Parts: sequence; structure tokens; C-alpha cells
Amino acid sequence: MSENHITNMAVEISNLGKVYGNSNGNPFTAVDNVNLNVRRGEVFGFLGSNGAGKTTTIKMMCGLVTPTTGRILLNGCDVALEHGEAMRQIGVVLEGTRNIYWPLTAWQNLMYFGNLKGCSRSNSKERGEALLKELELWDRRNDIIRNFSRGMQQRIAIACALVADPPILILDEPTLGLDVEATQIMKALLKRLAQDYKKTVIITSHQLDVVQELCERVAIMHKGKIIADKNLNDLLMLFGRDYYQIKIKGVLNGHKNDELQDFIIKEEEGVTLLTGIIENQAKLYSLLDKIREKGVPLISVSPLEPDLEEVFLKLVKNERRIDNHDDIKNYA
Amino acid sequence: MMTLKIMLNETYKGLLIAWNYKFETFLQLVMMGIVFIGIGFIIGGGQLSTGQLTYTLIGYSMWLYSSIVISGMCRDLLGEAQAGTLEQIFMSPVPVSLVLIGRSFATLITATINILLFTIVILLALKVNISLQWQGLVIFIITMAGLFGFGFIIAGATLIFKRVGELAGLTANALLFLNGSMLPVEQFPNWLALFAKTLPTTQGIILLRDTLLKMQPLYELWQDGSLVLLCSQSIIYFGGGLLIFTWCVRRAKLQGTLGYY
Repeated sequence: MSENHITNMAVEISNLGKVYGNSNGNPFTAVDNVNLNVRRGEVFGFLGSNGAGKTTTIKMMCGLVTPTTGRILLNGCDVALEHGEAMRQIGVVLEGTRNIYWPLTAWQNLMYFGNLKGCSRSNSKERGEALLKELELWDRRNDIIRNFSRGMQQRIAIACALVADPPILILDEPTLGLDVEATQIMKALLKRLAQDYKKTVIITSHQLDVVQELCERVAIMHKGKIIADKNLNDLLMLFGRDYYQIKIKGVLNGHKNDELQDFIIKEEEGVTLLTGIIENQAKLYSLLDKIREKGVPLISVSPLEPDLEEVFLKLVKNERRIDNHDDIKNYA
Repeated sequence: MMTLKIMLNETYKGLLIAWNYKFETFLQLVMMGIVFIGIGFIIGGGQLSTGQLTYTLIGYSMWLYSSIVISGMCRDLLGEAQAGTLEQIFMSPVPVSLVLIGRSFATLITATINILLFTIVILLALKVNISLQWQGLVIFIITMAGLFGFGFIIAGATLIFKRVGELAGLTANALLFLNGSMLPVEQFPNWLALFAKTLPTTQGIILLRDTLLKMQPLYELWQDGSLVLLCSQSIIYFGGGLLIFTWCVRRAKLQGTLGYY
């Protein structure tokens, strides 16, 4: 372990950069001075559009791509200097790939990957059996992977990543290509891994509803830089605290005025929805008074919970890093 | 201990996967037999001469090893890159070159089973007689070390250039004519003979024929320098192959192309 490093961080990334040289001789910066920490036992969402640099970052964490600058510690082990020890800290399921051997059975795959990580045969067997029972695949242990459904193959890939009992699990697009039922099973599994087994789980996904449901903290990467790194609730609150939706019966024809010009107004089936920013309680009451004066019946007033997708799109569109509420004042 | 376990693990997996392709392997064996008989007819001028077949069988068997090792290493790595398992192997705690050696054992075992089956059928069907000598096994092992070293170079090139499958196939096929499998190297023009002798398996085939057909003991081969040459070549190929493979891995990681195909 580097410099007798004892922290509560599972992953410490400092000044990480990756510059690729392309065929034209023009260097391309895929990752630009990234600093990121993931606490032990945390479920961490790592988000970004295609080409943002997150897969390169993940691959640098896994020792598959050599960084141009910076350092990565996995449970205190330097990926560049202590490759063997660092690799024992992680189980990885990479995006869009099979990760496991389709001509082999589920059991053969588990034993192979257990041994590949240096686990003893008895430990691999014990863990393999427990994992397959937990994943409800014990009865299928002697079946060839090729014959499994996509969801079952993905569960076996996760079991293989876990068979050596690594403290950190890295999942690149774990629910990609899964149907609704398989996605639910996968989400339940990931929740159990974090809650019951205290694993640090790092998830990258374009399915932001999955990330919103599972992750405590998210970092958003854009054009090689981290533009947000916050607890999920804090991040949502930054964007969501002033948003309200007012539901009234009937339509507002002839009643629209200046106070409503910044609101999004939707009228359908005899009901009108007004959505927009109301900065303080005084303004809210004032607006409600106006509505009452017009004699339009009020149905409900509710603060809006922003969703991660909306926040993600705003952040990526504005391309600026945010740390607090002042940073988002000028957001579109 | 852990390194050995990981290497054996790789060997075991290789054997399990090879077992899945037993039907394809059987067809390959049939093809090997047909090609060998065809070569026998060509060399014998339309006749199957037992003496000539014995001579050719040693060279042909060694060429089969070359073909399996060179094409197999390239095909396996590309196949694993496509299947997505290659990157998992690179996340092993031990250096990937050791995993590759473990995999080479699996290739050696499966190739030996196939070639033994082929050889036994040929020996029985065509009444070819080869006297088995333990010295032959020593020559064989040294030759294989060099051949696998050459395979490591091809494997390294596969990680960087990806499209080396055709080149590997071409190299393997060219060896049939260049390593003395069919015609003795002594019959080549000087410049070609000199080049041929630098190739993996050429010197091994010459010495296998010396030990199995001419019954020359190892110490004589050592004294005349031919065994020293084989040992030197194999050490250079094996050591150089591992070094080049390790360099190629480093380069692929720098380029970020390790798992690409």
C-alpha cells in the first residue's frame, strides 16, 4: 500500500489526464486533470455523454489504459506501481462486452475467474456457490453460458467479478440491453451488494433513472472534465428548490398576465398546469391570490422534484463546473 | 505458487474450450491427413515411398505445430478481444505474459494430442516406421520453446495492429516450404538456406531427423555445434518474444487499444 495510505477512500484519483495522439498527429485530450474520490461502501454514479471520457477513466482505473498524467489509488494501492495488489481490489464488468466465456458453463466461468484473481480453489467454490444461490442461478450452474438469456449472462458476469470478493465493484452500463424485469433484478442485486455486503460500487450508465435510484453520489464528466461531483440529493436540490407546479381547474384564456409569462403553461382535458420558478413563499402566496381573484378553482400546489436526466442535460449544455447554488444562477 | 496456479488455470480453460470444438478438430485431422498424402505423392513423383514419407512426416508434424501455434495465438487473442474477455485477463494480478505462457501450454497439449492422433493413423495406414528416441523429446522441447517465442511476437503484434491474422496465416504457410518440412534446407540456394535456418523449427527439424532417422546421439550434435545453435535460437526467440510481447502490451495500453479488434 502506497505510503502506508490509510483513508476511508476506496478510490482516489488525482490530476488524472489522458492524451491520445491521432493519425493526423494532433493530440486529443480524452481526460483532463480529473480529481475524484469515492468513499468506501458508497454507490457512486459516473455519468457523461458518449465521448465524455468516462470509459477511458474507468479503463485507467482498471490498468487497461496508461494515464498521461496523474495517479489512481484503489484502497490505497497505486494502479501504476502496485498493479497486482490494485487488481485484487476490483471486480469489473465492462460495457458492451460479454466479459465471460460463452462456451463454458456458469460454474466453469466462476472457477476460472476466481483462480485468475488468485483466489484459492476452496474459496472460489464457497463464494461461487453462495453467489449462484443468491442470484437464483444455482440450478443452471452446469449450463453453457451461450444458452442463457442476456439478463442471466449479465448476472453471471457480475458473479464472476465478485467471486474473488473484491471490495470495489466497477460496472460499466450494467443494465444496457436488459428488459424491464431483468433491470429490476439487477437493481435489486446492486442494492443488496451495497447494503448487505458493504461493497463500493461504481456505476456508469446512460439510464439515468437507474443511477438516480441506486446512487448516493454522482460525478458528471463532460469533454474530459468533471463538471459536477456531489451527493445526488444535493445536486438535485441545487436545481430543484424553486420549482413548483400549480394545478388549476379550467383554462386560463383571458386571464394570463405578466406574472405568468415565465411559466410553462399546459392545458389539457379541462385542467391547466403552470410550471416554473417561484423564488420565495411571498411570491407564491401572491400568485395564488391572483389566481383566486380570477375565480379559477385551485386543485393543487406542489414543489417539483427534479430528475437527474433534466439536471444532467442542463449541466452538459452549460459545460461549466458547479459546486454551489451561485454557480447555477446563469444556467439556461 | 499463485503464478503457477494462474498459469495452470489458463491451461485448464484452454483445454475446456478446445473440447467444445472437438468436431472442428476432427475435421482438421482429416484435412491434415489428406494434405500429407498429397505432399507425399508430389515429393515421391506420383508414388508413396515409405522412406520419403518417414522423412517428410517429421518435418510435416513440426510444421503442423508451427501452424497451430502461430495462427492460434493470433486467432485466440482477437477472439478474446471480440468476446470481451481479453481485458478481464489483463486485470489479473500476475503479469499477462505469464498468463500467455499458461495459455501456450494448453495450445501445446491440444496440438500434441491432435498431431499424435494424426501421426499414429499415418504410421499405421501407410506403414511408416519411426524409431522413437528420448533424445528426440529433448530436441522437440527446445524447438517448441523457440516456436512459442515466435508466437509471442505474433501475439504482441496482434495487440497493436489487430489485422495480422492474414499475415500470421501467410507466415505459417510459408514455413511449410521454408523450414525444411518438405525439402531439405541443404537443397536451397545458399542465401535462402541461410534465411531458412534463422526461422523457428528449421534447426529443430534438422536435428529431429538426425536423432530419429540417423540415430545420432545428443552429445555428437552438441559437439558439432548444431544443438548449440538450436538452443541459442530458442533462447533468443523465447526471451525476445516475451520482451516484444511485454513491449506491445505497454504500447497498446498507451494507445488505449488493448480491447479493440
